Amino acid sequence: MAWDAAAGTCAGTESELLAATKVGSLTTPAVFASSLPAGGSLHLQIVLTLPDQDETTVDGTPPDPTVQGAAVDLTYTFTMVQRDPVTTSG
Amino acid sequence: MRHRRGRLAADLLDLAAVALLVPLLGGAAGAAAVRGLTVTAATWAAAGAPTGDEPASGPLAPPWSRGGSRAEALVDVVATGTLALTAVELRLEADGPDGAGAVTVTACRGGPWDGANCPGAAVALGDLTGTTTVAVALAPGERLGLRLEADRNVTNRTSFALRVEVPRTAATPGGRTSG
Repeated sequence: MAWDAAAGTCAGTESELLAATKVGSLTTPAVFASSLPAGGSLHLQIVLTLPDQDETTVDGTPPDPTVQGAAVDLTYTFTMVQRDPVTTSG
Repeated sequence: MRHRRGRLAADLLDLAAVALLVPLLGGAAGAAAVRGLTVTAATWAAAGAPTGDEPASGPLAPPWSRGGSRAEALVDVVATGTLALTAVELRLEADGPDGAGAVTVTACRGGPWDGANCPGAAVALGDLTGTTTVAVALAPGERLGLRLEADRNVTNRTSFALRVEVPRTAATPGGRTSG
């Protein structure tokens, strides 16, 4: 079941595949232990959190350094690995 | 629990919380899905400005208008960030013999000051010698009008600076985007 993109909620069953991880450490692939049947779909929600959200802006100027107004380009690459084949007869 | 905490954080920061539907291709070993996005953090800020003018960079010196024995200054507090605000913190600093207590400040909710007339609701804020939190909803770019009054001689002897602070708790949660 797909996520409600506006509310960020899942009407089905949520399952955490990857605990909170620093983005910078994801340069090596994280392995999700998840299986998927043929023709199935997996709906993922990715939540991004900044480290400090309590800063105060004074006279329109944020503190230095600041978490405000920064931008970063992120690219997610999901690689799927096929299970080992099995032989069936019938 | 983690999901709720993460979702709250994303709401607060107006980050792009992305629900990705990743097509997984059965029978194709090594197949990959790639998505890219730019994540931008929101901003929460407000600054003082002479009524109708652009916000100042740094503390605002009230533009006193002196007539007779009295002086008045009309200034705006402008929400300059990308998030709507629920409150601003104001403080009037004084450099001179009279102190900020010689000034009285009145806010006008609902519209800009028209001279001494407030088209909305006038709210007395006192002298702003200490930090005063004004609970007011300000959309990005919206203004809260302030009217400062003092004895004319006071404004001649003393320099004033209006300081405006916005803590993170005074900003409303941001929106959520998906892609």
